[in-house]
Amino acid sequence: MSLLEVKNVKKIYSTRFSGNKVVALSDVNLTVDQGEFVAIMGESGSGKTTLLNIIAAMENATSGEVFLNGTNIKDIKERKLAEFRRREFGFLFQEFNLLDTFSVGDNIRLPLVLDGKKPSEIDDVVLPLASKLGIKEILDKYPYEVSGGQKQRAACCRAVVIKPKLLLADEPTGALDSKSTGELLHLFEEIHDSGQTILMVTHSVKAASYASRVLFIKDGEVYHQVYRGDLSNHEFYNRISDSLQVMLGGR
Amino acid sequence: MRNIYLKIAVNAISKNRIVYIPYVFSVGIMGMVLYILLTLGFDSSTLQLKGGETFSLIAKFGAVFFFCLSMVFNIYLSFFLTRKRGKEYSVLSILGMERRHLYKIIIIENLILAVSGSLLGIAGGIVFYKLVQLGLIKFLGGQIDYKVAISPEAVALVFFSYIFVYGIIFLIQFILLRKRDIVDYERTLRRGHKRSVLYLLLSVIGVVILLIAYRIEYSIPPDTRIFNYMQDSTVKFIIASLLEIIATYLLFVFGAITFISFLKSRKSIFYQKTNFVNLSTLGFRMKRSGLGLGTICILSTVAITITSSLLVFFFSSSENLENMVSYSFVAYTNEADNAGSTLVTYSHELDENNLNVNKVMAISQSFNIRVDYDPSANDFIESFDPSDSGIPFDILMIDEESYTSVTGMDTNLGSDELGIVFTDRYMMGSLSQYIDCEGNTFKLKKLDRNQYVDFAYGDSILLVYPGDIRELMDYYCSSTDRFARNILGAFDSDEYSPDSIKDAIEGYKQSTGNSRMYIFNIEGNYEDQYKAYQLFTTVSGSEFLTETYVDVAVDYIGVYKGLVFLSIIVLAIFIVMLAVSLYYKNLFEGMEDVSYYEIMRKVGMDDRLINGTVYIQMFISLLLPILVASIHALFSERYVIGIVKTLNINVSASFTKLTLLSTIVTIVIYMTVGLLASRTYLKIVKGKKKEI
Repeated sequence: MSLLEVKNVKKIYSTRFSGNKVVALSDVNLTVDQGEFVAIMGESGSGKTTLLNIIAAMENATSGEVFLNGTNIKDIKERKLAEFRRREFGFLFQEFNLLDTFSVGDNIRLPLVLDGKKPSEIDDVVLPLASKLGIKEILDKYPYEVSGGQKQRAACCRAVVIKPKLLLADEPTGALDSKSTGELLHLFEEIHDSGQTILMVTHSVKAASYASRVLFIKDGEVYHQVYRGDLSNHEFYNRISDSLQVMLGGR
Repeated sequence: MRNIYLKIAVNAISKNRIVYIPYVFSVGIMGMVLYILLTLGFDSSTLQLKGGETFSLIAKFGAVFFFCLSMVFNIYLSFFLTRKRGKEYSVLSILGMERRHLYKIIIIENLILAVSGSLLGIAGGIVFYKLVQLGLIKFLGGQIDYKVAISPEAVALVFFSYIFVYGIIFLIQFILLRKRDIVDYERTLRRGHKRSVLYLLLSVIGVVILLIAYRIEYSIPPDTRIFNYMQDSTVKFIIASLLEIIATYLLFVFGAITFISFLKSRKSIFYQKTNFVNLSTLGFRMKRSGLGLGTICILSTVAITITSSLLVFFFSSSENLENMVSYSFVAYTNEADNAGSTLVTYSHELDENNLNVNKVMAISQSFNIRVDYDPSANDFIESFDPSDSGIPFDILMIDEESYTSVTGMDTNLGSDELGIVFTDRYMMGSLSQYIDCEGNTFKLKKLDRNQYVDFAYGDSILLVYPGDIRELMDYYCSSTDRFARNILGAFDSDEYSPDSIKDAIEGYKQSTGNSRMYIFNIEGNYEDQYKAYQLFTTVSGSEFLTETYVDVAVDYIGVYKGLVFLSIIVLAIFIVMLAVSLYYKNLFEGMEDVSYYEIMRKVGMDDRLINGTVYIQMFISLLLPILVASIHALFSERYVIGIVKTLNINVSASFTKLTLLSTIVTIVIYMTVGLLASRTYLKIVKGKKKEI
């Protein structure tokens, strides 16, 4: 059964004064099944992040519909949107987006506190997860005191702590060195293996090679997609590279 | 090359006009007030106002005081601006500019701000000076002159004061940029705090210092008659104030963080939606804004204390003026039988001038005697010689019926009682219970004073006799000095009773048989009373001898009204400036927090919670300094009251009530500005919502 369904989504930006129109997404259709790990690739400006924002109900589509678990996101009332986002989605960003005013631990606790979880239950959830992600020792530190890799693991921990239906990741390895990138992708693999559905936007072929399916977006449309099937990471990496070259060459 | 710096500076100001326009406007207002105060001080027409010389001096002092305040504000605002511009300096530095190039740009920017601020201030000052002057003339009385005059001294002083202030601002910017890694400037500002034992220790020290400061202030004696009072209490007050300043900073910088950390350690408190966000944000910000809030607290203390003191001075002075001149004027006549027609004419004149007589007190058969105290003899002697040295007493006599009718006070004297009203401060010895008047013994009954009895001669003794006043005069004439001695508790009556004085008294009695003393109370202010007095002198001519102190009161009112007028203007601007600086604080923090709230929304924080946290933080950061300032101000009561008392003013107004009133007014002003600032803040942090 499809967890996420995107139907004929179109997004056009127009400038305030001149009225010039820019088509970010022309007609996007895709589905993501429960437990799937899908990567979206494309050039800069191809509309990847816009698509992610529309899926997360942070931006409205000009036309088209997005269904999560059968619920049309458009039907959710404005005042319920924050709660919907908090419960249904986990977010992971290139720049980590940890709050400087919170310790690493409090950054992770934030979605649980906002969700009104009992104080006594919060650490019962956070501590085992932090331990699993290897950041238990840095929970009392502030974001500016830890490395980029640790920050991204903390951000990842925050994204999944609420057990979201869908984990949305926007260039999660973009600001990491190769070692930290490898560690994070292994973490993604583990999270995915535990049943988490992941939708990741990335430029990195290496990152995409960890996914079970890769979608290529070009000119605001899903241009092509490749499935992992029984391929190993390395083989899938090569296949993605080939597809990418075809996509770029066909320009 | 120089043009490049100028271009960059102009572009930078233009690009940041959202903050620079209100900034220059605020600085301009400061310059305007400074110009007005200086011009009031230098303008020769000020001297022609009632109490003009004193007022001119006060205006000059006011200008110095306001200059110091505005300098603090300007530096405070510039600190925010420098912080806001930190990122730009970082970019310029990355692009290859050295520190000395940045300094050149900053100097040019400061020059532009100084010149534009001072020009705006001087222009505003010239325009509004006339308005203030007219207000003063209305207040103090004087000739209205509509000519627009520009004071070159004030123009020059305002201009140079700006150059001086911006010189200091540049020095601070120089130190700030030198101390910090320019490229990493922005990041260094976002560093938070760590809970530590040192913070706890410093917080405890802060509390102890504050308690010591309060104890010292509370130990200032309330009695101003103590020798060296001013010197001792001023030294104590200065020490206490310095300790309060240190304690305030310690508590705002370290105490607040320690307290927040304590709350954060309580999971049941901390893991609540609003608390979680607010405590984390406040805790993080206190290290950076603790100093600012401490400064606001100290400045608010100054504002509230000065306001309350002025109000105490104002209300007590009003009361003191009432007591100082408890009647409008006194008129004596020895031709009481002919006084009727004069009084009728006067009554018509008052009607024509819309003036009303509140009450006329007529003392029948008034009888004035000097009773002098001779310290060397430690005794009272009586004399008719006004050139005698010593403390003069007048003994006045009135029959009970007249007394009751003019004062409205029931005396209920028995036939063997003699009412006595006199001022306590010159009472020598104790009052005899009985007085012996040539074989007739009267029981003395002390009567309460009220405004109609406490007339011209504050040191008078008024005797209220239940029968015909002439009988009392007979007793008096036959006993002379013994009579007075008995009243005043000096019992050795046989030592001094010269016959010549008896004769003189008898003569006086004969000549004043038809005398009356009228005490007039006119409704309205002192100006009206003085007008009524002048009318009476015109109507009565030489028929009456008149006396008034109202004219002195009118002059006194002029000076103190002017002082209060000036102080209110300066304080109002002072409070507005504080509010403006708070507005800036929120505005700049909003600009820094845009990404912060973007993330908040992404992790599921709704707009209602964002609004709630912003308003709660605003209320805490505004209310806390004012409430602490209010407590500081309350502890300064003893010193303030002492100072007012040393000015010979009986303090009748409640300092505590007035401090609370000042605090409430300040809170209302701050909250209004705070709400506006929070709305702007929310507009800024939510501005990028659509681009998430």
